[in-house]
Amino acid sequence: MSIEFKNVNYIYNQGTPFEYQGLKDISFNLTDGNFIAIIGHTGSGKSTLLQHFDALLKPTSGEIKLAGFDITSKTTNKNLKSLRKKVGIVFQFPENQLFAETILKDAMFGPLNFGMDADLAEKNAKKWLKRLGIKEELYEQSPFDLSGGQMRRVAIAGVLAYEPEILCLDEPAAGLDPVGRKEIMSIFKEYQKNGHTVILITHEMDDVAQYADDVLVLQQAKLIKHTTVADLFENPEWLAEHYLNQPHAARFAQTLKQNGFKLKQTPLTIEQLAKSISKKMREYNE
Amino acid sequence: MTKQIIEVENLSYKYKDATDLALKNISFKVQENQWLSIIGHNGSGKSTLSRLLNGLLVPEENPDTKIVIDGLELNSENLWKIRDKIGIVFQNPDNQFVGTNVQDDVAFGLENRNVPRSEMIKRVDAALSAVGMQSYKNAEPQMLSGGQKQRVAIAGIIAIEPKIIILDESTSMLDPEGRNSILKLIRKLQQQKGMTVISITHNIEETLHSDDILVLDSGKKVAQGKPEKIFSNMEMIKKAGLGLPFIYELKQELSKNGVEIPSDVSTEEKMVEYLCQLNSKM
Ligand SMILES: Nc1ncnc2c1ncn2[C@@H]1O[C@H](COP(=O)(O)OP(=O)(O)OP(=O)(O)O)[C@@H](O)[C@H]1O
Ligand SMILES: Nc1ncnc2c1ncn2[C@@H]1O[C@H](COP(=O)(O)OP(=O)(O)OP(=O)(O)O)[C@@H](O)[C@H]1O
Ligand SMILES: [Mg+2]
Ligand SMILES: [Mg+2]
Repeated sequence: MSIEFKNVNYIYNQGTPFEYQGLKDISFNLTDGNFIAIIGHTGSGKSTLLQHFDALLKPTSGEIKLAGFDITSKTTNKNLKSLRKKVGIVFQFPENQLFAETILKDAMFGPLNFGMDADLAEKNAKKWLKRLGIKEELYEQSPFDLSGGQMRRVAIAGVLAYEPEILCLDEPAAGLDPVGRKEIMSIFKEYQKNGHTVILITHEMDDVAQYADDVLVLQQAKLIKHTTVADLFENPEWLAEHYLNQPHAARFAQTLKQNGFKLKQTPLTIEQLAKSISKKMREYNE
Repeated sequence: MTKQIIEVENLSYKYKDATDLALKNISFKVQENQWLSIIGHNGSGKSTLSRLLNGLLVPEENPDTKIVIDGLELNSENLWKIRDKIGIVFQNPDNQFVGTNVQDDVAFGLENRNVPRSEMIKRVDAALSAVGMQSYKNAEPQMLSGGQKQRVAIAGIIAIEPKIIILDESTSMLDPEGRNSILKLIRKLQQQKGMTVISITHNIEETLHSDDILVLDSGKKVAQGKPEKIFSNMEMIKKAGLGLPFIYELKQELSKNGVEIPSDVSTEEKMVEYLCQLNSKM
């Protein structure tokens, strides 16, 4: 099975002075079980696109097929619960996602709502809160009495707690501290490897390079590229033309090259960069 | 001659019903016109500290505690004068919106400060174009993307030209291009208007350009100093649950691969220079 968008258009506030076309004729096919990154500038339509995955927004025209569902402008809200059980979204602003009286109740809401029995719901909620670094002492506290990064962690745990088939993440690492960011990105990667699809919106090219298989690039409501990570970063000119970055390691290698220190391959991570620098130096010494 | 613009002594804070202190006996100073970065793990107390500086939160009565802003001690008498001096861009821009549309929102702070209408219109326009949002003047907040909201929140604060600007992860959702241009803008204001900047951030690269870095760990101040000093103390950084800038990580990785780089090679430019010099000898 796969995730298919066919000629999807989306118009905000149609027929009002605030009419704005958020998506223009978007078509793509994604392979289930992959890790997909969505990148693009501020306002390019990334969040708009993501909200179509669970029919929070329905296409003004066009068609979406995923997880056994068909979504069009005519889709009613009737069967959406079973769709949303399969497709979980962590929103860009975690505060908009939190609502329950306590942190634990918040994280249990999803599993209970989607029919898990209470014991299992609690077990799952606790498991994911723990993995997201939320201490047990906090479970009975209001989720709104947390720091920004802690709220983000609770919001992520609340979606992972019902273990959706397709996990959609809207800049999930914004506001996380550097150690937390690494830990949580690798939790997403592990989640994908365990047989789920992960869709990640991010501005962080280092994360794209390290975790994603495929990339969708949006620009002004249009899909301008759908390719593999390797292919994307092999095209620095194309990236520069579209004001997009390479990963930090690749940018550094580029500067080295401009100054006469050439590496055989473009490194995408610090580990690769250090390896090729040291290899080059060893070759010389031998 | 530099002047001290912020002085904090023995500041602690506990939220109602919390078991732990969110801040534990913090003291630090900030010189006027400097760029101070505050870093620390999630929940270390950064936002709490920012809210204490402008009196949004009030510490418990304690004779040893002192907060002085631009020569004025923070107390109920001076509260409004101090609020006029400090502009905070909050972590979540949704909490900042008060106007029904973008331009009213940016005008709000100016109205509060009784800026004449003609001047106000000028400043709102200037602030919105500075952050690249002039074409969204009439848009309502819920119609904006995440990054657009952050830009508007920043415009709302630069319009009032505060003496001290506090950015609480205010560029966390901007694309790298957008983030750079906003940081450039703030730097320009710092230089041209003598503004003091406090930037709370998880973006370690960004802190390399600051004059001073303050590190918080579980409510405690564990270090303050220039970037080179802070990031050469790897043990402290690790203990505080933080990451290293790219250049320091690269040095670590190279060392794992048997390549040792001298410690004075502490910026990317120097590293390029160093490697290329070796290369030319090869
Ligand atoms: N409710 C709405 N009404 C009208 N326009 C909207 C609405 N929501 C979003 N838009 C517009 O649609 C465009 C795309 O917004 P979207 O939130 O999808 O961007 P994004 O790519 O996620 O950006 P960011 O990186 O800043 O989060 C923006 O120009 C935005 O102003
Ligand atoms: N309104 C509140 N009520 C009770 N406790 C709070 C409240 N806000 C924050 N805290 C707690 O105070 C501590 C410090 O929170 P603060 O928001 O200052 O952290 P921070 O350093 O800004 O973190 P982050 O990087 O996640 O934004 C945390 O343990 C947090 O749980
Ligand atoms: Mg968005
Ligand atoms: Mg904070």
